[in-house]
Amino acid sequence: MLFNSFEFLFFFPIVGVLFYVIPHRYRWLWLLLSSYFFYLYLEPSLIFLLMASTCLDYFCGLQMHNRTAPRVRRRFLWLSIIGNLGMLFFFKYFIFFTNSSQAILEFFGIEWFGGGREENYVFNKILLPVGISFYTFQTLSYSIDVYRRKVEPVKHFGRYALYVAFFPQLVAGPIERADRLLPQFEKHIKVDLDRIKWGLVLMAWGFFLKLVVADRLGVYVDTVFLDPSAHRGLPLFLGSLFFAFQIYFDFSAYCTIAIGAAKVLGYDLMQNFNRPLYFSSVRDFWRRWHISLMLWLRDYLYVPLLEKFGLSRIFTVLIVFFCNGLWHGANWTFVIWGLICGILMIIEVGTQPFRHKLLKSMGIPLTNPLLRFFTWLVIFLSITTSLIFFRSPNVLHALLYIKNMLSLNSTFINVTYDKTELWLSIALIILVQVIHYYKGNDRIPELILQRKRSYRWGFYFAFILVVVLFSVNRQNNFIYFQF
Amino acid sequence: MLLTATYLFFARQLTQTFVSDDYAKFTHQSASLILGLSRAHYAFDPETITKQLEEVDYQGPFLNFAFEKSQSPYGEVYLNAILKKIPESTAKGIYIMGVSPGSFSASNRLRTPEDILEFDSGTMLGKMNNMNTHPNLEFVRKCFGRSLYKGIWPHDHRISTVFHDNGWEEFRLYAPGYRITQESIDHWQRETVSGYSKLADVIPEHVSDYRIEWFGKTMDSLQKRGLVYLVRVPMHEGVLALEDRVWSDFDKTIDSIAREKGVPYLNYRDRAYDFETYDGSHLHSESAKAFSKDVGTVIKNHIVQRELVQYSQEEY
Repeated sequence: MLFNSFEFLFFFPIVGVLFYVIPHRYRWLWLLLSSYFFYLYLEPSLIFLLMASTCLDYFCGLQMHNRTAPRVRRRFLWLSIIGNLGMLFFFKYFIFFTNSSQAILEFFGIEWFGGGREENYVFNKILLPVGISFYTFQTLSYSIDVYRRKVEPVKHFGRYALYVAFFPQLVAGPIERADRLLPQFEKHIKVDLDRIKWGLVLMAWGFFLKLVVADRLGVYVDTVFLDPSAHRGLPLFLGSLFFAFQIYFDFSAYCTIAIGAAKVLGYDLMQNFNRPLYFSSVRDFWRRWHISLMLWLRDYLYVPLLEKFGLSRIFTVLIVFFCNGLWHGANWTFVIWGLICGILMIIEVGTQPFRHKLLKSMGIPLTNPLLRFFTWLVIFLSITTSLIFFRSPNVLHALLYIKNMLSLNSTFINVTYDKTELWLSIALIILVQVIHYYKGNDRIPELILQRKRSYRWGFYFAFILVVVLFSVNRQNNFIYFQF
Repeated sequence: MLLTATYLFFARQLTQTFVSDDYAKFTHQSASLILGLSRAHYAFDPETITKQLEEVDYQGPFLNFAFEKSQSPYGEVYLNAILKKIPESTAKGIYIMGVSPGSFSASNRLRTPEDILEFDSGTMLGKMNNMNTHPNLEFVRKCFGRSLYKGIWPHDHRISTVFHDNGWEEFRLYAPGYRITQESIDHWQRETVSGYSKLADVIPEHVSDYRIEWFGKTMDSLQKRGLVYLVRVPMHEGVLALEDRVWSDFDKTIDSIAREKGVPYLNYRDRAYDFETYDGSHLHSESAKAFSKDVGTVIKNHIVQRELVQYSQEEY
């Protein structure tokens, strides 16, 4: 089920009301059934994968806890890792790897088992289960934390299944850790109107970001990315800029709705975005963007590679960002995007002493506002350009886009033939940034809930009117659903 | 409740104004249809064709039910939509099916018939269930692609374009305070040719057996409701050269399908100098009207001749 569907408008109130009506000891069951229904509505055929992953990690977690011999414990850890990554690899990456191998073999004139004919390739039709990257990483973090004895395994199978399948964050995160979320399922949650209102306002803000802002930017982005050969210069530059904002608003909208929905039910999910555009460096950007994934990569990949395998820092950063790219999708475009981000990070860290020395010799302090703005601009444009690979269907497409973007011979930007929409898009980007500057996503409800009743109700009616009148009628999926 | 009521109110309000270039194609049934991709969408003016067929016994009115390339290549989804457009009782309709390699191609990412069907199901025609009501709120919800405030504050769309209720999109070279120069046309045509060739490298496509098969099925279904004509719309020679490179025996293939099914194939591939495009691929207003007149005349002659043959056979 999509958050931005009519079905969710009925689903969520029913789940929420019955959650508080049902006695505490059965609530986990109600939430679990609701979560499976939510997933079944979206992906009926592959729910068994979600269940298989749940059973595997529940079993491995208990075994790792009960056994004392390190070798046996390690075996169960590897069973969990191989089982989860195996499923992820098969369903998400198998076609990508076979196609890439096939292309390489064909380049050297070696006949592939399909004899070069597409219809003969055996595994062409593998469905990608929605949210597999998210729940795989979530269950893996549980197994690794149990192995590291950072968390106690859960005895209650149902509560563990709920931790894996909790519907607000099941298909697109945030990727929660067991020590944060699991204890919350044990707590007896009472009706707290202030908390419920806070959650609902957060959800409303998320819907606004998605339906009014992100989807609106998507109209322009889709037009220029559909056929980059039809445009030159400025419209393509604006398209890439809009896409950077679109993906940010789209994904942060999803997370905001998820956090809000969980809050209504009495649970706290982690923040996934912390005003990412207010970064001061590349490192700072990645501390603010998709926080739950970056923390996962830091704790379960970066640190072990650095500390246990003794790899160099540069190489480790490249591996982490390679994985970051590949995690997003089975396509070379994502890999290249990830590597560009990694290289930016390496350049920043590698040139830091030189840059500082140079600035010192020139007498420019690091706090100089002009310097800070220039740094911000360079990083922002680099990230925006790297996202062209993220958005393009293949590498050639991305290269053509960049090539045409750099041939600055067109200033005609109104490619959707709708000036009102163009200016509205730009105005909304600025508006959201201003609001984020003051409040960030997580404190948005303060803007409304701390006001008088008349103001609040005025806002609620205005919100309905604005969403109805200004949302884009396209039934768009959230971008991160595909991962 | 309030949200839904507000939505319905403004959605209905929007349908009383200009919704989008394709909205008129989803508001009523039509016994005679023009099918194909964007070339047919721009090239066939139903009003001109109707005028040419005044003396012919057929069921109208005509509706231009052609869409842009990604929306209506031949396939199961397009056929289902077409069948919903035609009233059950139709027996004497006329169906002009535009043909070009684009109508039979599919991205190389779509490898199996199931892939193509899944892709087509995501198009406007695949998403829509209700094809023939006005106001069509389903269209607004699923396909409008813009915001409901447009019902209060109307669109500013291209001054060069006029959207007709019969589905035809007219591209005008002249309008009050507006004129497209020959220089612009030449530039657009060059851009289209270079753009198409680059796009073919970037998003490679293949000729799909699935689409050819469903093209045949579409013809079979339409022949039960009336007469079918296959038409290749004229285009710029550069675009034609590209299409010939992609599918060298396209005309031969279409011709053999037409013979097999017993329908005429009106091939205008070499008539670019008689019917000019504004961008290399799509006919502008004057060309479209002249072209529609020409096609209408050919169809009229064919029907008259056919009736004569039938009459003489009956006499005999």
